[in-house]
Amino acid sequence: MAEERTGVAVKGFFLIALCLYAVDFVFRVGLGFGQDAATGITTILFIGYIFLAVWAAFGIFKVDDQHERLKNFGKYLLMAFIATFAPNIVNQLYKIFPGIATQLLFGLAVAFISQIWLWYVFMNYGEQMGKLLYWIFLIYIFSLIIAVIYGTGLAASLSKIDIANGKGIAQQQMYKDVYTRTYEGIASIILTGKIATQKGEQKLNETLSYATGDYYTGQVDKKAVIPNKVELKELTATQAEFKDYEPVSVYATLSTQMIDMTPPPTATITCNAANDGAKGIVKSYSATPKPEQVELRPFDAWDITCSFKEGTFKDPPTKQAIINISVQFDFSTQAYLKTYWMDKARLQELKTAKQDPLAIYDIADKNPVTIYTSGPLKTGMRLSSQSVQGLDKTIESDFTLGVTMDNAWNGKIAQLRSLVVFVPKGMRIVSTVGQEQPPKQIACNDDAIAKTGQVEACDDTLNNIYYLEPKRVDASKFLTLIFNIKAGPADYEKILSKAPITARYFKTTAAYTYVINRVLNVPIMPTQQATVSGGTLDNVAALVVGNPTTTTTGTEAIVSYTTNQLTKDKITHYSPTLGTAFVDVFEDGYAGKNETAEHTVHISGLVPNTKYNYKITSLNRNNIKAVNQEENYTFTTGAS
Amino acid sequence: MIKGIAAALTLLTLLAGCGLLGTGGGRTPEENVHVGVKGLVMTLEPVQTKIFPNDPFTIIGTIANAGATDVDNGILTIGLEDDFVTMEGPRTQPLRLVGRSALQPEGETGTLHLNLQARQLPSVTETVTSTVLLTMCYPYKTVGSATVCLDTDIEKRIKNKPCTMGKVSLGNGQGAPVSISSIDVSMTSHTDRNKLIPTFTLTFDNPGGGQIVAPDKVSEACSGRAVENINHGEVKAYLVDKELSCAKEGKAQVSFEKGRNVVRCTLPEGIDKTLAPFNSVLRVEVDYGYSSTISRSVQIARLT
Repeated sequence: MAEERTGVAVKGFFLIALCLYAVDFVFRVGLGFGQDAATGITTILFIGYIFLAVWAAFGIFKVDDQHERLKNFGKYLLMAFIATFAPNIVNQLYKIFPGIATQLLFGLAVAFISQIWLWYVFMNYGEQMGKLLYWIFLIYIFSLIIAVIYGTGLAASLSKIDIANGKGIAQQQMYKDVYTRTYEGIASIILTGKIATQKGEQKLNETLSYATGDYYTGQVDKKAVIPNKVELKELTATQAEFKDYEPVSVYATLSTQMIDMTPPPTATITCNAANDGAKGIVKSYSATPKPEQVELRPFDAWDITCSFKEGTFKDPPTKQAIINISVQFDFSTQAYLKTYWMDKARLQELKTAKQDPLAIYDIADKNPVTIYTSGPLKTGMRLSSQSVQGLDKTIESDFTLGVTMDNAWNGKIAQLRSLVVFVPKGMRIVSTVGQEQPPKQIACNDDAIAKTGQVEACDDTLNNIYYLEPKRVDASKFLTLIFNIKAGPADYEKILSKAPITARYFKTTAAYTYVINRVLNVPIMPTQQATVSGGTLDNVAALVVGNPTTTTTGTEAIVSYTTNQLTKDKITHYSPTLGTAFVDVFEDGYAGKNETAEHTVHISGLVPNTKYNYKITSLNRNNIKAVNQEENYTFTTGAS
Repeated sequence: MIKGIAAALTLLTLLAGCGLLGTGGGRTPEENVHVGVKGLVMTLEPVQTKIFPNDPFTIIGTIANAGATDVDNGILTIGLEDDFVTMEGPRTQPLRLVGRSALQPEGETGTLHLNLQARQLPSVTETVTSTVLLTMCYPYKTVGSATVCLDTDIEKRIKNKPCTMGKVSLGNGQGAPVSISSIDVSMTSHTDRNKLIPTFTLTFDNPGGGQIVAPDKVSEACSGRAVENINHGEVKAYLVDKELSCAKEGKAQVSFEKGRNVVRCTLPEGIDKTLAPFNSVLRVEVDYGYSSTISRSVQIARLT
């Protein structure tokens, strides 16, 4: 019983420690790398870890020897200190030793050292934790390591580009909170796990469906010289990060490898920011007929850019823009399944004679599989488990043809527009399982045949053709259709021809709309706050950094100052000589000038030995006026 | 006893004079052509490995009668996958080829020339592999003979017998795709105590690897219609000039299915026990329809 109580206590202690670390983690995630937790939070955490120390020394891990007990308490207090302040120490080390390697090293150190309580219990009382907690701990530590590596990798990619741009301001951002990265890392792991789970679930469903007989497999045409491929490479941002008042651009390469189709499929490219619904301007170089459209011809490539106007991600402010480029195109996939047919009595006779009907007729392809053309859709078909179908001369025969369509690429089948099924002449589809409407029989001159480019290959004398617009209950899953087929005695001769064994083909053409997406999270830097003589100002407006410097003569003054944004400015000065009138003086070269952070305003026509009051008005790229426009500055002209 | 021996010697002399002894004496020209395990042999030239849509192509070859039976009403059926290949002319052609004989030891050879055309492929389909099946169906006959020892001395009274009764192997075929592989001779009792019934157990093989049908089902074999009695032939056997009973009414359907490819023929009237062991000639004829198929695959590939 004592052991059981100890086991329960160990589990409780471990769980509480784990919860405390979880709280610690969440708090620090919100702070940013290189910044220590606020004193209040740190205090609460420290109290929590001290509580663990007390509980350990005088409760759960209490020893009889008082001296030893006190000694242990000291050890536990040190552990509480490490647990609380290890991240802070590491933060300071980051500042002293900036660099990717140290980030990784320190990140891993934090991941291990700061979890000291968990390690302690694991190392000393692991056998009492129970299997569940044991595994939770291992997964937790493993996730932490992966997250740190992942987070550091992101930081590395950021830092390289920042350094290349030579922007000192990015240094701070370069060391974005490793905890934030950790958080992203864990989120990514969870997401990846979720995706893997979904993929696994999908595969499991496919397997189960296959096992239960409603998933039919096929094989892509391996003899195709040119496997069709449409590839949209990963998006890349033109900058490592963007300031919220800057235009944001990303680019990617779209490439094709496919057979020549007449007419070629047209891909429409769209771009949007998922987090605020903004639509980007798409431009695809060398594209025809429109910048946002390309004709998918064999072996071609296009550079695609997507730009968002300046200020798109400023209001509402966001730390990252989730930019999505979609390439949508119509495509079709053809598939065919060879089947062997023979008179039923003859087939039975061969079976009785223990003869393999396919071997007798020198047929090597004994188990024909569905062959489908390469593309985004894979198709499987199956007629029955028999390698040779027997057809009765005297009574109507029933068959079922199963057709499965599934996603073969990493994009999405946005819409399965139509399915055309070609069955051998003499057979007719009478119904489709799971579809409300039976397929419609069409001829070779039907639009559906023309749209999928099959007119030349279509022959009404060989096939009965059926058209269906399949309804999909779940667009994310594969679709299996079961066609009930009949062949009567009157069709016997048509199907069997005059040969002892006949090969007949079932063919499908699926027409669909396919979408390939690429998403990129682009960091957006909010405008930094700055302090001027007027105090802390709104970070969405231009600010004067520090006090302007003024050089005066008797009748002129040159005012110089710096703003924290690129602006075009004017100075409005109160003219004592004109009573209450205000005079606007625009900065030098205002009319054709680009925005700048360094401003010089040349004021002339002043009265010597006079004190002038003036205000600075800035307009940033978004025409937002500076909030310091009411700030009053002064200068005094010299003697004449 | 002396009377019996004299009768047997007389019979033996007569048989030798008629030249019906198979393995015992020198081969006659007629016997020479009855070797091998081939009937009609189709040989095709290599087909183009890749054909473009709508392109014509040919299958060229020969059909030779490598056996010892003349074929007068054989059929060649061309099986196409109509979805991808078309053909000029009829899908069935008659086969008439003289077999090997003393006058024409090589047998007759005919040529085969098929004009085919690949169909257009659907727009996205790049390649298709299509198979052409060429099936020959023809009536054929296997004729084999062997010297067999008939020994009525089942009580083993004679010490030095002129021959030993038992199993005779017929090795290299009889100039036909179906062959008689062995003849096992034994004696069974007769209702007349003074007689014994010679019993011949004939074992057949189908080394040609084709399909055997009843001789009157040749046309069905090369059609899509049902065919009965697949793997069966008709057997007749003669001991010199006397037809043996291989089944009721002296006509047997033999199955060439492995394990069942045995026919038992007897001389119901039996032979006198007083006869000394002697050699005789057993002649076996098997009539059947024979069918064999050769396939050729062509890859139809669009011009990329």
